[in-house]
Amino acid sequence: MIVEEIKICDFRNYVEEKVSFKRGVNVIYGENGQGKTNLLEAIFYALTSQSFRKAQNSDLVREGAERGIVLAEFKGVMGVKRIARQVEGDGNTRTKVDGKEGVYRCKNVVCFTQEDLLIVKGEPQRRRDFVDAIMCQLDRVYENEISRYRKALHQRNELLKMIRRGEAQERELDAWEEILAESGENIVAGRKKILSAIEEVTDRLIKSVDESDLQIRYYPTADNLNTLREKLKRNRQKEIARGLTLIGPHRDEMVFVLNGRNLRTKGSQGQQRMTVILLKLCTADLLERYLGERGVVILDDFSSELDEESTTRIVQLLKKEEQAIVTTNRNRLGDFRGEGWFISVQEGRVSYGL
Amino acid sequence: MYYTPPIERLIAELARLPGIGPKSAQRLAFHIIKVPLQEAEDLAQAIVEARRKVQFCRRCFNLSEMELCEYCSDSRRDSSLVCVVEEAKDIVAIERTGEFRGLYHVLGGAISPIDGVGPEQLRVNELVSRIKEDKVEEVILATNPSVEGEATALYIANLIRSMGVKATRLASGLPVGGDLEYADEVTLGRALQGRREI
Ligand SMILES: Nc1ncnc2c1ncn2[C@@H]1O[C@H](COP(=O)(O)OP(=O)(O)OP(=O)(O)O)[C@@H](O)[C@H]1O
Ligand SMILES: [Mg+2]
Ligand SMILES: [Zn+2]
Repeated sequence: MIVEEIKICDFRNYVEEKVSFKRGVNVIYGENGQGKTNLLEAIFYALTSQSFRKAQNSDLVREGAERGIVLAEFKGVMGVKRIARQVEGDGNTRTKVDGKEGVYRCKNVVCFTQEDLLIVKGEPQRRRDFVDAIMCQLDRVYENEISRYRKALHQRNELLKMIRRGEAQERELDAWEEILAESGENIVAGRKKILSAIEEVTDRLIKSVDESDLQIRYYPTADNLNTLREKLKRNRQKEIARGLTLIGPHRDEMVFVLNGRNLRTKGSQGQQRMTVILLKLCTADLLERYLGERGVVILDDFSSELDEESTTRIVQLLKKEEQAIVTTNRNRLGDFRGEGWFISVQEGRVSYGL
Repeated sequence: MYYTPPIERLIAELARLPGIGPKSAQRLAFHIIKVPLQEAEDLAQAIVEARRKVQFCRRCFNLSEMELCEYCSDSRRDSSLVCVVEEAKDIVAIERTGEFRGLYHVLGGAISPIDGVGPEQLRVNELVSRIKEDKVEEVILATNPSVEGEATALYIANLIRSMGVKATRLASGLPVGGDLEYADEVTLGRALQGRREI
């Protein structure tokens, strides 16, 4: 899939601009605060109807404007598609697909932002969410299971609090625990499957850039229906006192181990960043297997903290992508050795070339 | 902005209905005052008549004009087989399949702690005493295929198994997270036939 052109109107710091992209590596460069990230955000928003920042819809509209509009034209196995999205100042949105009012959410886009470093650096929740999000895209049944598990967990937590207040009976827990155990077993099995695929692909990518070795270790709090059910039952008194379910897939830990060391606690900044970027390229691989088409890879400011050597290796990998769109600071332009389609951004206006 | 008292009152009454917010209530009220008087009277009368004449069946809590609903008073139906549903409207869905010849029991909802609904808020005790009195042999748990419906079915199954009564659940195949009333009759009929013990 390839994004060919986007038009932006009153979106973030852009007043009105048309930007064209090419197959291969597209490099958006400029000084701080000029609109590089905003441009990536516009592409991502057009494709997925979501922002990749923790932003509300109304933040997307240019200050002082009533509504923002993004139009994207992209080409894939299904032909050319035109998506137009409009965001009102009050947060309301509208979408047109090929000129007709509709809904559209493109799955085939992989995006790296600074926030994603938390997949490695952050709490276990970040790793679980990363893995679950991939699995949900690949497997409808898994997606269902996650939503079923979350609902049952929410209900059981509420029931624990009611029991603590003397408003409900302990035996009412049985039914919820049965659902959590059954659904939990399916989630753990799904995670094992996807983690071994992620480990295999990412390890291969890492080996292509240096001699490192990546392992992903998964520590489920309980990995089958019976132990999950048993542990929930055994921990009831503690959990009633806390008003919280402490056992289950929502508490599982996953550890990335690079060259035998825990990447979260012992990895260098560069190793952590490199791994996350490769995890994203791995995601593109897995999605491609499933969707039968290579997606667009979007990387925001991937090279800060990375030395020239590492950056060059990533750039080599990006050149194999059908399309990669990245941002970088002006002083890091050398990393691309003049190969690619260069887009300069200055105060919300673009121009092409170096 | 305030309207003349009769309209204010109408809006307030309409807004008490489930799923009707202040804005819809206002829209409905303005619609009602514009229709011919006869139409408004028909509506008012229909509301009062339905409320007066319809009651809960004494045995299964289906909606009925009589003390016993049409199914409970039909002697050809098998009273040893009871199908448990969340709401009376689910009975209509099951009847449409033409696959079921037993009686019903309407719980009045599903267990949902976050909404403050536990077994005590539902007609579970009524079901238990009915099973004892009417010599029920099998209970089919036809709650919705949502997480809450599932938990409700499991809770009741645990309860009645200890009474030596067979508890079965509709076979899977119903859309997950959906509503019984929206399931098509072929799927629902198959789910009824393929029910399994829990
Ligand atoms: N809704 C908005 N209306 C107007 N300006 C906005 C809006 N949202 C963000 N901006 C501004 O847009 C400018 C560019 O932001 P952007 O994040 O794209 O910069 P950047 O080029 O990625 O910079 P850096 O190199 O520092 O990451 C910022 O000055 C920001 O304050
Ligand atoms: Mg930026
Ligand atoms: Zn009845």
